Formats: sequence, C-alpha cells, structure tokens
Amino acid sequence: MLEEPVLDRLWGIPGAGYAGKMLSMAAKKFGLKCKIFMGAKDIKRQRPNVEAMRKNGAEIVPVTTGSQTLVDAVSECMRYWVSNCDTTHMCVGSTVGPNIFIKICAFSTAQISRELIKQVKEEFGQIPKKLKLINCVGGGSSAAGFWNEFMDTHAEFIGVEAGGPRNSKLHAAPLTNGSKIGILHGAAQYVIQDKEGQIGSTESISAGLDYPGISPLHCFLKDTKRARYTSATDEEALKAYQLVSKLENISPSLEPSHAFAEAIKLAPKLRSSEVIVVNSCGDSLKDKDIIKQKLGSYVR
Amino acid sequence: MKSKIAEAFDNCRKEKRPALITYTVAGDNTKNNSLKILNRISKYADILELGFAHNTPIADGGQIQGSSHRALKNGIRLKDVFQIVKKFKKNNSDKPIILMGYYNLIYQNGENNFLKSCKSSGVDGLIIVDLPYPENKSFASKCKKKKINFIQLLSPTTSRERMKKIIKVSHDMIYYISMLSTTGGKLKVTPKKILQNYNMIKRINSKKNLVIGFGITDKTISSLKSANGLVVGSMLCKTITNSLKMGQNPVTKLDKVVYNLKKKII
Repeated sequence: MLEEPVLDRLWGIPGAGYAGKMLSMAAKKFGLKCKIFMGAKDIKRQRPNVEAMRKNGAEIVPVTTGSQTLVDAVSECMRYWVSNCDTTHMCVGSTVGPNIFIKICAFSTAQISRELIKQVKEEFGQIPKKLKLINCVGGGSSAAGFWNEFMDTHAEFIGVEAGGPRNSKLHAAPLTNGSKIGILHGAAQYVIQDKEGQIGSTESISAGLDYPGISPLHCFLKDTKRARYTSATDEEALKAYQLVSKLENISPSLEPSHAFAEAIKLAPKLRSSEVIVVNSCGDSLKDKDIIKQKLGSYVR
Repeated sequence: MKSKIAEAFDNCRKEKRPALITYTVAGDNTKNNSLKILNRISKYADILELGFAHNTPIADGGQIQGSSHRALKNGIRLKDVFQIVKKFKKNNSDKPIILMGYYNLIYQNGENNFLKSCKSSGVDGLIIVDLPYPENKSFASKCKKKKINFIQLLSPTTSRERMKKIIKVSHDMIYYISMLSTTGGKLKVTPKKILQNYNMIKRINSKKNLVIGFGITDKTISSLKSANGLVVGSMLCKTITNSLKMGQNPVTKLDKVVYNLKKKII
C-alpha cells in the first residue's frame, strides 16, 4: 500500500558506541541523515564515541526511559523506526532484534573471522588442534563475527558475559546464569526477567555488555553446545585491562577485558601447544572516564 | 452462538454507527480506579480494551508507556488484571472485554494457563502486539477453540497478499493500524487516505468487522465514522496523566471524555 519508499536516513543503536561511530561515518560518506539512539547513561559513560559520532554529523538521541542503557535504546529506536520505516533504515549494532537484523549484523562482523582464519593459517600452517577463541558477549555482534568462519572447524568457542559488580545480583549474564527463554525486541532468547515476564534490570561496567537478553544466535550456539559461556565480574575485567595494557602493546576497552579475564584464568592450566586467541574488540579510550573513576587514573 | 464481540458490532450496525472501542491500562492509576473507569466508560463504549502492562512496551508511545509505568509501579500483576475483568463482568456480562499486551507475559504464564484464566474471568478477545502472523497461528487457533477472539493486526505496510492470508484466518474482529506509528502518534495521514486503505481491506472480505486505531482523538474520530469500529487509547491515558497532574479524579474525567467521543460518532 505504500508508495515506493525513498530511504534517505539511517538510524542506529550502538551500546558502547562503536556501531554508531561506524554508522555515522557511512552516513557522512553517502550523504545520509543519521540518528543514533543511546541510553542517557551510556551517552555519559561513552563520551569519546559520542563526540566522534557528533563530529560525523550524526544526531544523538538520548533515551531517558527505564535503565537508560542499551535495552531502552533498542526499544526507542524500534519505535522510531516503526513510525518512519518509509524513509528510514534501522541498523542494529548488536545481533539482537528480529531475525533479519541479526543476520545483517552477524554477516557484517564476520569479516573479523575471515581475516583471522587467514592469519591463523599463515602463523600455524593450519588451524591448531587445540584452539580457543575467546570473545565477550553482550549484544553478541563481535563474538558472532569472530567465530563465524570457524563454525565448521574444531575450534573451541568461549563467550564471556558481563558478571556485573561483585556481590551484585544484577548480572547481564543470561547464558551463564541459566535465565529462562523469553521474548524481547521481537525475538525469543534467554533473557533476564521475573516470573511474570517483566524484563529485569542489569548492571555492568561495560556499556556494550549491559543488556538483559542475549542474541538468539548465541542461545542457539549454547543449546547445541557449539559454544560455551561463562562470565567475568567488573573487578576481574578491570584487573585484566590493567594487566593487558601493562604487558601488551594494546589497551583493550572494558568489553574485551572480560574476555581477557577468562584467558588469564584459563592459560595457566593449558599446555604450550594450545592456542588462545582473544578478540580485543575495542579500544580503552572510549572508557577513559569509567577507568579514571574506578582506578584513579587513565594512561594511554 | 455468536461471540459478544460480534454481537456488539451487530448492534452498532443496526444503529448505523461505528463501535466505540476504548483502551485503558489495568491498574492505571490504581487497581480500584481502573475497575471504576471500566464501569463508568462502559455506558458509552461498545468494546473495552484493557492493557496488561509490560515494562518493555516497544509498540507504545509516551502516553501508554506512562500508563503502563504507573500500573507496574502500583504492583499490578497478571492475576490482578484477571480479577479486574472478573469484577467488571459480574455487573456487565454482555460487554466485551479484550486484553491487550505483549507475548512474553503469556509465554511465561503458559499459553494454556493464560487462556484458562481468560475463560474463567470472562475475557472475550486478545490483541498481542508482538505476536504477528504467521507466528501467532498456533496460539490463535488455541484461542478459537476456547471461543476467545484473537484479533489480527494489519498496517499500511502489510502487503495485499499477506492481508488476504491474515484476513482468512482472522476471527470476528480485525484491527487496522491507521499509519506508520507507535500508539498515540499524531495523525499524520489524512482520514481520507486512511479510509481509502480501510475500504480496500473491506473489499477483500466485507463481512469481517474492521476497526481503525492509532492516533484517533476527539478531533479526528468523527471523520472516520464510516468504519466498523474506532479505537481510542492514548487520549484516554493522557487524560489520566493530566487529571493526576491537576489533582482531579481520573474516573470522572474519563467518563466525560468517553461520553464526548461517543457523541461525535452517533
């Protein structure tokens, strides 16, 4: 019933802001209007990414409902999209939401593993017999991309969810903590909720992992036992961030610091022939305010 | 035997007017008040939609979000919603009630369990916003077996081919979403355009009762009165919000607003 739509706008929802940054760059390049929906709490704690998006000409829409994080931003972006789908594309930077958005997101991030599988073969001549690919999991986009090309190999997948602050019950870790399946944002998935089905609140130091659901794609990988999931606390992630930044020539953001925490836990138990690859899927610069607040200083 | 929903439409047809369908949220602003509201507005409304609140209401605009928030803050639970329906039905057994909400609450409650509660409290129909066709096939047929209307939704982006399929499996009432919007958006399409689409759907099957909702207020309702039914929701939620702000009684305020709506479509 609609006339041929003219799609001249891009609207997106990043958690930590990476996808928003990329989307705003794409919009700038192609001369499209760009609106980015972010929780008001995330806008504050991911300031550097927000500034980058603004520089690219994107309009940032603060979402002030609920917990003011990713879950509310996804709801609000969906509402706007429903109201403007004749002129607008919705882009989701997480593997969440209705079917097609998960596929688009996972297809895009799969480039990571296309490159990785090449590098692994160059380095080891073949895929090592014991290979662990460790990735943080919140919205699930980077883990999906990191693992995709290895799906039909024997590589072991380990996903690390956000365990939240120690002693807090508000984990963003539905896979680790055995949450029930529920329906959130147009998809069935393991989701943090109460008995009635009201969606629960979460708390995590990393904006990108602070989501009560988990990608249906990862639910499937868990159920089929293709991947295994665990969690790291805020404190463990911070410690891992400190150690990795000190010893390596990289400075991971707080999301991959969860994955590094798991690698640090696992490594002492492994033989030297076993290989771990951790996806350092973000740079700490965006988290400088949080790190300064938690550790007293931020050095880059 | 005809359903109460079908009968309500028949009565309106006899009176040559559209059915007035209201939407309020159970527990807004209190459990008691929402029951009182139903009792009062049922004098004018032909069918009552009652929302069961969810805290992630992705299809709702600000007004209904506000009402849901108030209801949840007051501790409304599914069992309270059924209690409200039961109490209402005690004195108004012929007035159809439709529960409206999101699927996760039904899923967690268990479909069969939920339908059992619907049956025992007297619910006549269901609108489940985030359970579209064809994902709703199995649940919709369960509803049919229990003689509960499952109300399908159509929108301006529904293709004609898809509409035909949906209309074919629909029960006594179909809901046409007037425009691309969440609930409570400003009517951004002309009533003429909405009725054009409405008539196009009616031509697919003229026997089905087709109602229009989203963006309908006292200002626009009369221009759409050739439809089988018209739904007003956000305007009522807004009335509650405003009367609470002004320290007025939301029950009497709503009574007036719905009376005026009815006057405009007779």
